Amino acid sequence: MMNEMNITSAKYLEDDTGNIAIIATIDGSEWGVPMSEGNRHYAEIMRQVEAGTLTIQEAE
Amino acid sequence: MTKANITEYDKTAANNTDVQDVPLGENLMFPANVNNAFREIMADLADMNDGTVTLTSPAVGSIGVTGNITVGGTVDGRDVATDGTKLDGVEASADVTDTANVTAAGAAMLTGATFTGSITAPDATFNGTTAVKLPAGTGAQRPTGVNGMLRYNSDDAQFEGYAGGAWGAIAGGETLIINGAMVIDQRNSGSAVTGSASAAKYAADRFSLYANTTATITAQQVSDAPNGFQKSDKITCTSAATGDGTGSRVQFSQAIEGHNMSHLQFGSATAKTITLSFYVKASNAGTYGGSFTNGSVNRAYPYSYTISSANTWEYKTVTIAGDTSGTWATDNTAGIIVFWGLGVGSDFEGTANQWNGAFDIAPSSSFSLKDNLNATWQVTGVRVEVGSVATEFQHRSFGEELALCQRYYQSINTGTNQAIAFGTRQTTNTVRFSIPTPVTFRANPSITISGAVECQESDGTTTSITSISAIQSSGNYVVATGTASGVQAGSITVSANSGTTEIDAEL
Repeated sequence: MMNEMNITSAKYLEDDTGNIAIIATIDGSEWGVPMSEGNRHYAEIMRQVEAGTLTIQEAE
Repeated sequence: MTKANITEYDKTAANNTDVQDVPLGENLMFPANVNNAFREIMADLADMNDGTVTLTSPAVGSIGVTGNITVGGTVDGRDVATDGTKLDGVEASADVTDTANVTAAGAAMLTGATFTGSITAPDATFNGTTAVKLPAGTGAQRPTGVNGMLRYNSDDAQFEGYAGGAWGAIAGGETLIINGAMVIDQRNSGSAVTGSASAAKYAADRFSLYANTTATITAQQVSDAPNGFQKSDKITCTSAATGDGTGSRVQFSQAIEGHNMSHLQFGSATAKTITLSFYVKASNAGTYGGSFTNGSVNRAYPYSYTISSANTWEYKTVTIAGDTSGTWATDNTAGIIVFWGLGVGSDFEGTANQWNGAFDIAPSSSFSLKDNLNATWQVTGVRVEVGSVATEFQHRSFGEELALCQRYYQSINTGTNQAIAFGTRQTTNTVRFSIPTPVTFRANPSITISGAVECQESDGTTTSITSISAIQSSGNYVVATGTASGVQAGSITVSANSGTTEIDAEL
């Protein structure tokens, strides 16, 4: 892990096909993060989820 | 025995008993025959003179010939008549088209000649439309340098020349660094950003500042630069902190995409040597440090450089042997990361000038900017290139540099209700739209939009869009989705109201 990120919230975004992205607050700004391995925000979200320090909320 | 001609004359005088039947024997020659004998001898000489009689094997010490010589036999084993004919045709029949014959004769063909020794030519002109091939070999195979030499270095995969008493690359190799002259700053347009441990901050595109420290560190694109450059990135310690933990770190870095460094062959026995070069200026002279790492930051090569004079632009080069071990990405993820350490705890210090299996940012005892209030460090003209020689910085056009940066980040500033995308209703509560982008992103990007975002339906109805996210990057479009309530079927136009749309696919 090169740099940590301060991610204070994460919630799935869904359409009629299911969860398609994550809306996350990263360093105070809301980012729409694609569920894509090559995306650094998604990689960090998943790292923190795996570390147990972040939970992704279900879409409303 | 009758002596009919000179060839029958005997070398033993007593055996010459007649000449042309004129008796010469003892007591046989009458006075009346004396004149006859002389006459016969003279006749024999006359026969010899005109060739009537062929001499058997006369020996001549030297001979002068005023007329022609006709040879019925051979001369020194050669048939003069036959060979003479050949000589007559030498000019017309000379074979200068057979490479083997010409080469065997030690001559050179006008076409296809192969020279095995050195060639000296005061001037040479190469015509044609193909190419001239120069000698090619490894760095170890370089000859003793003489100014003016040119060759291809197969280790460095580039042409090199010997000038001013040293070997150097010609015309400069391709740099792996993007925005090395710090001219692009899409995010801040020259405003300062404060480093943070919660996210990397970019003061110039592609160069990030990360500060996990209690000190306050800022980064800013500034117009102070060495000759030949317009911009530099300036790091300043506006609040110092000593006694940070072993895990603290202040680093300035650029991650190079794996696609752009796959030719370095890192992680294999044929890993290539690379050279980092940059201009640096700092408020404090001293020994500074940095490192090269892989994307997973479990391989690192710490390096040191010395700033000799405070507040003076200096040019630094660092050459390292490629890593023959470790895992190095060659795809769209981070391949190699170039770090400059500006104050790191012992957790991120490592032995210099060798590859270590750890995340090292700098050697121990490197200068720590974060410990010194108002300390500054500036950098520009950054290059990373294949080979052991740093070459002159090659400036790209602003447009080229911007496009390279936009593969990783794009910022779109919008006016009042300015359209940024077009799309369709996905469900009652979601819309999907495509945002046009000038270049293809490295990976599916994240999106954040400041200011209100709305979609306008074909009947003029306007609805707010929230929770926007990219879901795919394809060609020159980013396909995004957003939440909107009560959107009717049909096409939509997405507009942003006086905000900034940031699309991020940084490494």
